[in-house]
Amino acid sequence: MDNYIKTGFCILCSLVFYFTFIGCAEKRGDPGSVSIQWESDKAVAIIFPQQFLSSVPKDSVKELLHIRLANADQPVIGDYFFKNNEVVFKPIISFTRGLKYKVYVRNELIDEITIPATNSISTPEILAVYPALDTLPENLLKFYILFSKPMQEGDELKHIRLIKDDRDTLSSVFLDLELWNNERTMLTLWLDPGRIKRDLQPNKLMGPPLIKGSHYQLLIDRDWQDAEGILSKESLTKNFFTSSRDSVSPDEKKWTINIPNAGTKDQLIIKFNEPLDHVLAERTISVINASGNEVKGKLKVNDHGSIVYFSPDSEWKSGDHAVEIESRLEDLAGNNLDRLFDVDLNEKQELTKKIHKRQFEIR
Amino acid sequence: MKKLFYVVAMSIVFVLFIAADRSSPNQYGMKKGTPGIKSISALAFGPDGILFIGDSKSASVFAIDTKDKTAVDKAANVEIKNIDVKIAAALGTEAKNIRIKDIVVNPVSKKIYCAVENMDGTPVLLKLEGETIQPVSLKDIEFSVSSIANVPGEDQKDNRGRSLRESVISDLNYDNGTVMLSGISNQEFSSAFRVIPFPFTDKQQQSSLEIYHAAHGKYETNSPIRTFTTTTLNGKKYLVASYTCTPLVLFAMDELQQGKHVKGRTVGEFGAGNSPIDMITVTNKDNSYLVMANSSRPVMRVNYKKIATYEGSLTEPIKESFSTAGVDFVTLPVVSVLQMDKLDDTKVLILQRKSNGDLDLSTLTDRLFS
Repeated sequence: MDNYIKTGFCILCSLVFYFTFIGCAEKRGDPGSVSIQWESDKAVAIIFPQQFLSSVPKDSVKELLHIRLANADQPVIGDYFFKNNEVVFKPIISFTRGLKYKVYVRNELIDEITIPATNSISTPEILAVYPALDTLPENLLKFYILFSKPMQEGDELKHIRLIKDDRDTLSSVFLDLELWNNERTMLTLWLDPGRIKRDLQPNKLMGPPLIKGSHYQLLIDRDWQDAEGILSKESLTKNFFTSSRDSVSPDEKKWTINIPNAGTKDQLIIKFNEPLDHVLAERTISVINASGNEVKGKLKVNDHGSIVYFSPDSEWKSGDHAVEIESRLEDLAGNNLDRLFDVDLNEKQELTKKIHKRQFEIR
Repeated sequence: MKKLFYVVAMSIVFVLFIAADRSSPNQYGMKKGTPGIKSISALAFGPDGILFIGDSKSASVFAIDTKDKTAVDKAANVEIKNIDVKIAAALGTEAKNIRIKDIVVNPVSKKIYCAVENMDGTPVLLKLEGETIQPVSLKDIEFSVSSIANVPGEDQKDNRGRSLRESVISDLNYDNGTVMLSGISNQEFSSAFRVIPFPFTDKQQQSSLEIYHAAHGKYETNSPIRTFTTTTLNGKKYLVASYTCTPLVLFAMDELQQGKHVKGRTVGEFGAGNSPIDMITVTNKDNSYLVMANSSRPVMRVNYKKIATYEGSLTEPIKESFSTAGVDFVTLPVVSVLQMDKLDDTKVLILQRKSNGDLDLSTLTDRLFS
């Protein structure tokens, strides 16, 4: 009978242990091993259960517990803290996906943990290249490349080539500047201004980057790495032809404005007399009402950078209005409303103004 | 009773201590807290271990008190092979996933500070103690901040969020109560240069100006400054700036005032097909040198005496391909330097890409500056 009781007790203990174990495992894997804490798809910390560190005094965790990258001999730097009887190690930057880390206690390897490679299926894509036109002035100043996801900085020019007339890959045509927007979804790619600007040394020596009457291909290679380390899969080719030099500043007086009627939410349409910088056009133009306040609404520029569509949030009210344009709005050759990209000191310079206005009346 | 009195007295002292700690600004107007630093584009040391951090993403300059102010006269030579691999390992990643954005030396303690960015954009500030890499905490520290997003007199058309000008801080320097920074716009071709008095005040006294230099006296350009430093020539303070294609341009500091159209004097053309990367001033015995690292040319050394006595301004285009003109300079036998700062009065710390691809931190000795 005693034996039965003993056996029953053992089974009961096993069941209790088993269910306790399973309960924990459902929550967070094996309770006896370390686990990863995730935030926004990033492995931000490693959590050590108490039993894992039973031999380590609480006040010595920082000295005795170390995480090292496999093949590295120095510990990863970060903060240790206690939470619900667990020790949490948070590195300064999140753990890198796909890498293996080793856990040492008293310099003895006791565990290994691999951060799973990303499960993100969205590879970065190029959404647009501006200017989108296929005929561009020979003194074109810049391209914008728009990506679908935040990208990694560095070595941008390795991914970009400019080919002339299907034959020559041009060298030293781009400025070695990494100019991303804050979200790192848009790269500004400057054609070397020193070669465009007349009379500067590079212009004299190497000539302008683009020459009128030629066919060019802007090749953007695949394998750009996004901020999660995922590579782009598609390359992109932009073909274009070069036309004459643009040496005239944009002039808002030559724009056509289609004025909507009062009481409607129709679009205000501003047609430039030439294609302008797409990104600057989106940021430098606003509509002002009779009281001098900005009319709230959505502003959209067509792909060619030649037409602005402004849709007001509320119905138009009758009265005087104005389109305000910051002088920094540039055309494709970097000439802005106030000055040319090349300012000839021998020519008389007019006074500049920060804001240009085109008045119109809503009826 | 005695015990109660003691407890009350200690509590008052404690409360006063906390209050003082939390709200009283230090002599530089810094308060304790956590600066919301979003990116580290450039670093520069000011007085008393104060580190300036140029944050392009939040369009701000932060001043943080590193408390690292134990003076050291001479720095030991620094030789750290594969610094990028070591920093990456300390951060738990691989060298390809990080970028070293800037390296500066605290002129007081001679310790090396390094700004690093992870591939997802997370900024990290590190300090080197020998070969030991330590994090510099950016939480609960004494700091102050100056926004460079909106300067009085400049258009503030950010009401729809679309007029905010995004720019990258290309260089940052401190000199005698003034923080200076150059910016490169993401959209317009322009030169943004700001002069901000330090300690920072609530009143925005900073100046935003357009800096031009006339290449060959004919076409004026306000192209963005890549790197700059300051110097005194013939008793007058100057800003020494360099641009893509390496013209060396001088601007009188007293002309750098709000809204001014400031013209510089081009004193040297140091070669096309090149961009200046970093610039420092090294003083050795009787000579003071401008030392400049470049993207496609070796490190150059210019004696300030030669700049001081160079009265001209380059007006004639250079005739021979890739040749140079203007003030004399010496090309040092040091190439592929990506970062540079003074380690002490006679030594220069360099971050150098070696021919085998390694990225090493090493020291240029005074032999090159005598």
